[in-house]
Amino acid sequence: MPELFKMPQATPTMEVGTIAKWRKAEGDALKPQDVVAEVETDKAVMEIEVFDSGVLLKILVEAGVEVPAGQPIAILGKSADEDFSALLASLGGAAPAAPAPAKASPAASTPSAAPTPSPEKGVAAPVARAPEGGLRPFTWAGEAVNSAFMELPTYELGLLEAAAGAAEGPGSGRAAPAARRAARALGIDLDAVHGTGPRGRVLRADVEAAQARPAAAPLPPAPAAPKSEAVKNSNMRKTIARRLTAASQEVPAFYLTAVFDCDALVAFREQLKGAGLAVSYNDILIKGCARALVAVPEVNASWGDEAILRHKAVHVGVAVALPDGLITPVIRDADKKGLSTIAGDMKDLAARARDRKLMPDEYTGSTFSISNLGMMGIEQFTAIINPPEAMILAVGGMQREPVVRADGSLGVGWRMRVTLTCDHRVVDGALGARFLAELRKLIEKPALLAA
Amino acid sequence: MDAATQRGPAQAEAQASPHSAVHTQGGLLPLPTQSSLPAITRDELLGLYRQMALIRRVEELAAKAYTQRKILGFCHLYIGQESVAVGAAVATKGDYWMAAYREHGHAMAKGTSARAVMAELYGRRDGASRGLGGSMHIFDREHDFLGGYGIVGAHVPLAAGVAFAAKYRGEGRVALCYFGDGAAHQGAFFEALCLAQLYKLPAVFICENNFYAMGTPLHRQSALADMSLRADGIGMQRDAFEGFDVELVRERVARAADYARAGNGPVMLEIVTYRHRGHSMSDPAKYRPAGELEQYKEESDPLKITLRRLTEDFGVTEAELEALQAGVEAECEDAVAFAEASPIPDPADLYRYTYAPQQTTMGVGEAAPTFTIPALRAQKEG
Amino acid sequence: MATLQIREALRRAMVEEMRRDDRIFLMGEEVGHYNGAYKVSQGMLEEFGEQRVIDTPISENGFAGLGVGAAMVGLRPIIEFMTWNFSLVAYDQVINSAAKIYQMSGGQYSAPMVFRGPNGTAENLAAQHSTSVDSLYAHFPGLKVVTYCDAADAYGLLKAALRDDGPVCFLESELTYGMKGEVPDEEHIIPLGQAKVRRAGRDLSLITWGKQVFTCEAAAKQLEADGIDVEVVDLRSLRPLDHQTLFASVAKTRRAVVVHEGHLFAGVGAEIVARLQEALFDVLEAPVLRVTSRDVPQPYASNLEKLVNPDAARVVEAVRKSLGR
Repeated sequence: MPELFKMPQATPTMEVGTIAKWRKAEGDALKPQDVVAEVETDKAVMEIEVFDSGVLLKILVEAGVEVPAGQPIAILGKSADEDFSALLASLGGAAPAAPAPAKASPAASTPSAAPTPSPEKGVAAPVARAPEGGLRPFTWAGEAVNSAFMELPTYELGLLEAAAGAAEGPGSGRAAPAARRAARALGIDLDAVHGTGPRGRVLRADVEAAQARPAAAPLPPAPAAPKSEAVKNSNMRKTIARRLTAASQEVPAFYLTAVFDCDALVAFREQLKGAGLAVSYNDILIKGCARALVAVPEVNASWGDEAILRHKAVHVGVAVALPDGLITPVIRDADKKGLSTIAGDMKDLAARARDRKLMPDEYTGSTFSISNLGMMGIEQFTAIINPPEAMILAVGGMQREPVVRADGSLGVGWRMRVTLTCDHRVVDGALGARFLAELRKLIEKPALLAA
Repeated sequence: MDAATQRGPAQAEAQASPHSAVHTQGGLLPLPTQSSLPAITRDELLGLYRQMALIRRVEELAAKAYTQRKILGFCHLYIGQESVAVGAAVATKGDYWMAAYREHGHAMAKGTSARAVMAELYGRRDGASRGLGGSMHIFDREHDFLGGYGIVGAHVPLAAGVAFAAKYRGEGRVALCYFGDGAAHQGAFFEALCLAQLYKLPAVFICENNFYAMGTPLHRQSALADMSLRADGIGMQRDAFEGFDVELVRERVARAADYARAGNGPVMLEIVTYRHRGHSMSDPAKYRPAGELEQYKEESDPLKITLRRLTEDFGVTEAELEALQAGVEAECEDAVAFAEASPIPDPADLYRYTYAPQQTTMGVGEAAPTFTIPALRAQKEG
Repeated sequence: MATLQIREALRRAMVEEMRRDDRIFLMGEEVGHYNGAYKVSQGMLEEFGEQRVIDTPISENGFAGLGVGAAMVGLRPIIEFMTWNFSLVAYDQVINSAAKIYQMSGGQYSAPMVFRGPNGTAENLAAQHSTSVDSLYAHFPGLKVVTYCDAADAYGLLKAALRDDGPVCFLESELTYGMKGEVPDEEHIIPLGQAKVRRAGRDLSLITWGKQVFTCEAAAKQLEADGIDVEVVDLRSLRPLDHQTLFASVAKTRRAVVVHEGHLFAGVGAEIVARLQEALFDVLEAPVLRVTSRDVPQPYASNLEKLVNPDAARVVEAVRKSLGR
């Protein structure tokens, strides 16, 4: 029996999702845990899976279209020849959603994009692809040669393998090395390039064409080559580059700097230590930020064209440096966790982050982030927002300084400088200041945190 | 220094020891002085003559087709040497044969049809080796003709192996191996003879000494004129004779085959012969002294010698010979027509003959052939 | 389950097959009265007699060719090379005769036989006794080239080779003849052309065969400590090549390093790399690397010899290079 496949509720807060990409085509066989599509949610691009064997009979919602969770996006069946016309009719006359022109990706708007046979035109049903990957023997004059001995057989990637192959790459994963290199040099996002090579492989010429299309500007003249060494970008490096470039280009950010009096904080931590609790300043900051986010819920939010999403949960991301990049493990529901729980979670997450053993849901879905370079001797800095979050707190090192106390006397005190980067689309200056004020209260009177 | 009489210390020691210079007890048995064959009859000799004439005519037509580029690659003709293969075949009809690359005549003497040979030269599907072997690799399993080899001397060990199998299964069959004077310098040839003698294999090694290894005359490639003397260093029985008279070849090869078949061990023969043409179709054979070829053609052409015997001693008439020649002509024309008409190999078969299909079962506990295996050596030492 | 030395496992395979099939005989230098240069054929002369366990003079070209001839007319010889180094004087027979006879006779004659003996490096045997012949034989269509790493595979694969209807080059290792391993008591046959995944992993595939399997397993263990999880694939036969297992492994891990004895230049690794990139171009995350014997004749001195042979450290280094960490 054919059945409807609906937009899943991929995250707790997800209300709508946009199909970023179909990873399976109509007629493709499906195995349990096959990723069929990528869906952009409020938090991230999620891979959505199926859990039954069968066939993707019909795609109802094309890539680029936003649909509410729970709305049908495809029809699945057990075999390719199942009749799903009744099911299709039951959806009402509504034609399958077409991509909104404004959101159309370059690939989708390219006329030569892989055409799907249209059933309305009565053309032959799409040929079901072989469900399993594997060898296709070398054939000679129509007969299979026992190519284990001789000539090279071809190898069709299994669906799972193909998906795995694409999982880390920016796009389908099918891009010639020459194209990847060209894309890197030209600053082109491979995701946005339509591949004309075999099986949709992006070729160098495709990258060059993509470069020529948006702006006919000539390439800048090559400067005299400096003596330099090319260090290949890891996928992590590329992801960082892509996301932060986008953030710095798209997010209208402003910065708020504050100096916190940390004398009480130092005493508080000593007190915890005395009680046998190993809690870092950073752990205390996590907790403080979480509480401040609860107190100022307007900032625990994300920008959307139609609406600002206010997150009900408080998930605090903490940037952890790795040898070739950084990752932001997430303390979920940090507002509800005690300090020692946060400390324990953070220790575990940081350790596993360095070993690259984090599960995706351990580094995605944060609603606010902290970047702390205090231990690196940095006094003060600004951080770039980690979309779709609205704010990130850059934390400098605590240091002893000459201070003027409230009573006007001079003395020496512990001070810490923090800079809050805010997405002005979500957070205005006063709102950001309110958050900082709330945080200051908690840091300067840490006893409140224990409350 | 006379290499044949030189004795090293090991040899001297061996002679002083209880071992004789040759391990075979009592030395080598002599070759029989008379073969088991009956005296040749008029009809038999006429048949041998026809076979030689057929081989010659096939070779001539092959040369013609070669000049028309219908036969390609290397093509080595047997013209002038026909008596060797044809005479040897009489006593070894049911035995195994193996030859080098000048083997069209050997294949036909062993029973392969002119059609199959010509079609193979044409590279056609009905050729002896299905068009895959060509001039140098004619095989005919039906007639136990085990090929046609292109690496000089390298097939001699294979022939020893065939003889080994014949002995291992107690078949009473002999392996005949043909090669030229050029092959008698190859290591493989020596090794094969050593093994054959050591295991007393039923083999007859026939060196067709036509005096030229490609373009190099015998005196420039060998200090030894009689190639059969190679056998002496190996402790093998040998014989040497001129092979232009098919009757003589018939008798002397039969003696050697009888000897080997009886379990006395292998024999090496040198059969002196002469090729009328160059090494291959691309060799104009300018290296021969003036008049040599003409002299051999006049005095030592196997066809002429047998023709004379047929007419002078057996009273074969001109008319009989004309009829015979017409028959040969017709057979050859048919062979050419057959080759021309035979389809080229099916490209679909390109991969078919690279790996023999697996027929033996991999199932555990399944039976395989068993038979009685005779002792490898007639007498066990010590 | 019996614990056998590899030489015993090989012997058991030969003995069992010779008992069931009279067409099989063993021929080579010192195989009979000496009981084998490496004692693989110990006791076989006693059981089968001189008819079937046949000592030869030192004439590889001769007895390898003899084997081919015997195979052509229906016997199934086992031709033992005391080491594969010596097969080079019989190379012509293996290549020009055994490998090609079926094709050049238009399918009329084949050479069902096994050429076997120790291959590759042992220890301090210097230039002429340390050759890995893998690529020399794997190059030619018509031959099968098989190897093993442990006793169970040695037994099961040699059984299959002895029943194969074509010529098989069976590559053994002097260094591991004495290595013990479990071999099932019941008869078993491992079909040729089936690679074995010795260790499953997700980060990278080590493609190897012969005793280098152990080098790879040692490297895998070292890498495991650093959280790098590599798969070890023992090809077991170079021809026929198990493309399915090879490609499936690399399609999964998306990275590969080929590890083998024998030189880098035009070695079998080059062929594996070529096949991987042809079949899996879109999947590979990094160039497929090779760790092989270095491109020099084997030196005698121990320190130099160690530099030449593949070792776990070089494998680890290649894996890290591929993974970029």
